[in-house]
Amino acid sequence: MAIQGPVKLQVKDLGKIFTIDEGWGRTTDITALEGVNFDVRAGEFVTLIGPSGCGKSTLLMIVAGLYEKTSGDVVLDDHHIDGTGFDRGVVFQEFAVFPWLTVSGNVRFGMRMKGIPKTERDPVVERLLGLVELQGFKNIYPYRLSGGMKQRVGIARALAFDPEVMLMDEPFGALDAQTRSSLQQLLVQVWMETHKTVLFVTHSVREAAYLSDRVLLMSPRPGRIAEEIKIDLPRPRDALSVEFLECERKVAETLARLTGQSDGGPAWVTD
Amino acid sequence: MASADKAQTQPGAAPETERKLGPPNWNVVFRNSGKAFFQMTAPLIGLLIFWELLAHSGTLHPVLFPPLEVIWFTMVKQAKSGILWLDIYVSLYRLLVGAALAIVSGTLVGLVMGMNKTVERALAPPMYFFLAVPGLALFPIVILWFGLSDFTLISVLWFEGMITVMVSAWTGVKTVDASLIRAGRAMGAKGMTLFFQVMVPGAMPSLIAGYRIAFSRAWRIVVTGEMIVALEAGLGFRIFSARDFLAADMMYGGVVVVGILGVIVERVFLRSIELTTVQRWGTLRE
Repeated sequence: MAIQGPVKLQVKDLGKIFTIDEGWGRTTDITALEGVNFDVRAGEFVTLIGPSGCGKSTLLMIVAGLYEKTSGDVVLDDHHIDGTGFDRGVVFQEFAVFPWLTVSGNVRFGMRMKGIPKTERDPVVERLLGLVELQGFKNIYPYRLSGGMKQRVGIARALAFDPEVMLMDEPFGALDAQTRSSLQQLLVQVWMETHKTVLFVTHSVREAAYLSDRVLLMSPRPGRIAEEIKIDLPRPRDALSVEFLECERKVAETLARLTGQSDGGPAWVTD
Repeated sequence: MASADKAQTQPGAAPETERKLGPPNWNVVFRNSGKAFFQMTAPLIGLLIFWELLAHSGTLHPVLFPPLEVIWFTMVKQAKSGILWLDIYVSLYRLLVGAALAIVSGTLVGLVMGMNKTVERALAPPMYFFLAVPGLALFPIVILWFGLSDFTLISVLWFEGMITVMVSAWTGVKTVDASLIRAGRAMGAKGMTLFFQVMVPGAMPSLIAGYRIAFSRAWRIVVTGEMIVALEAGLGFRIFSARDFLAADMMYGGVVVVGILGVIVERVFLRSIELTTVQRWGTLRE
């Protein structure tokens, strides 16, 4: 079941130092990431999880090319990543759907930037809006959509210009529990249909266990990859099966150990 | 987590095509528009009645406080002779040329200021300085340069309007949601494309607010400027020269026309921009 494809994305010895201006000529360096190393294989779904402030979102933003790295290297296929590119599609926690464009205008945006001809855009929009179950919402402005629907636009939009890798930064973090679970299912469907490579950031243990082939656990600041857990369950997964709960427990316990919260007591809510 | 139904119903967001609307409910339409009309006009009508009673009470001098019918007949006479239309045309022409120049240049400069640190550092201090200088204070200097001409009036108008629009365009760019900019960049927008596709529409609410202020400031400058620059026509010129003939009725009439025109310009120009942009996008609530 584990994905055995060629390596798609390599993060090599990545480091990030933020310099904070404290005023009156003083600065403080904060090491957000240090010596981060991991690979993602083609078609693999990999999740980064860790305590808040461990730099997982920073890491994703560097891979997206939206933040500068301080040291190390990010390699996609065989080229070094420096800045944004059409080979990566990004989904944001804040949805970041353009309010001045309709749903289809948002989905078209990346294709327009990439220079895909007009005639080729419309079929893609149709297909993607069908995929995220937003048919009939084409000409609606985003303010009339609920949070979950906005994020479905966000997903369709990131897929539109056919990137090699999907980068998702806590995409369901701002949603209520019901909407979140329906979008998680939808994402699994989309992933199985498009065979995209996904790098996903979350703070939810259940979400990580439900979605991923592999969970990378990060240590508290300075963030680095501390553990790796393979989730070898067939999809779609049954989140209440014994096998699933075992995986969830394993991720939760490892995370608790990394953050120093482990007291050997009973399990707690992991969402 | 995985147990929730996939096909969730989302309240308040039914697709446009699925809406079934019956015929308009004229009763409600008439009642609502009647109510709105009454609410809008009642205070004005009250004010006019008050004025009329005061003017006829005999306690005020009829030359200084003429009753409404006198003002009305004076304005009708002005309109019949064509002078009123000439004044309106001349004043509006000055306003529109000045405001158009101000909007185009102010928008461009302000947006660039918001995008580029060097331009921002260079232009922000003079911008703040001139923001603190009333446009009218510039008239004596500009009259020295260009004489008593339309050109003088329009230059001051342009400059004052441009500074106003600059501020709003600049802050507009500065307040565009960072996540929208990141999204635009992540989808390959950069340089000019990022500018026109993300920054400009993102700054639109602030831009429109700026145009509003610029128009009202420009209108003030046109009317007061016409009093200073002493051109041959214009609403401000007419109000000011009426003073020489002690023609208070003409002055009041002029002020009313200025007010009405100002409201129309605001409603027609700015409302229509607003309706096609920010209100359609839902970034402005009505």
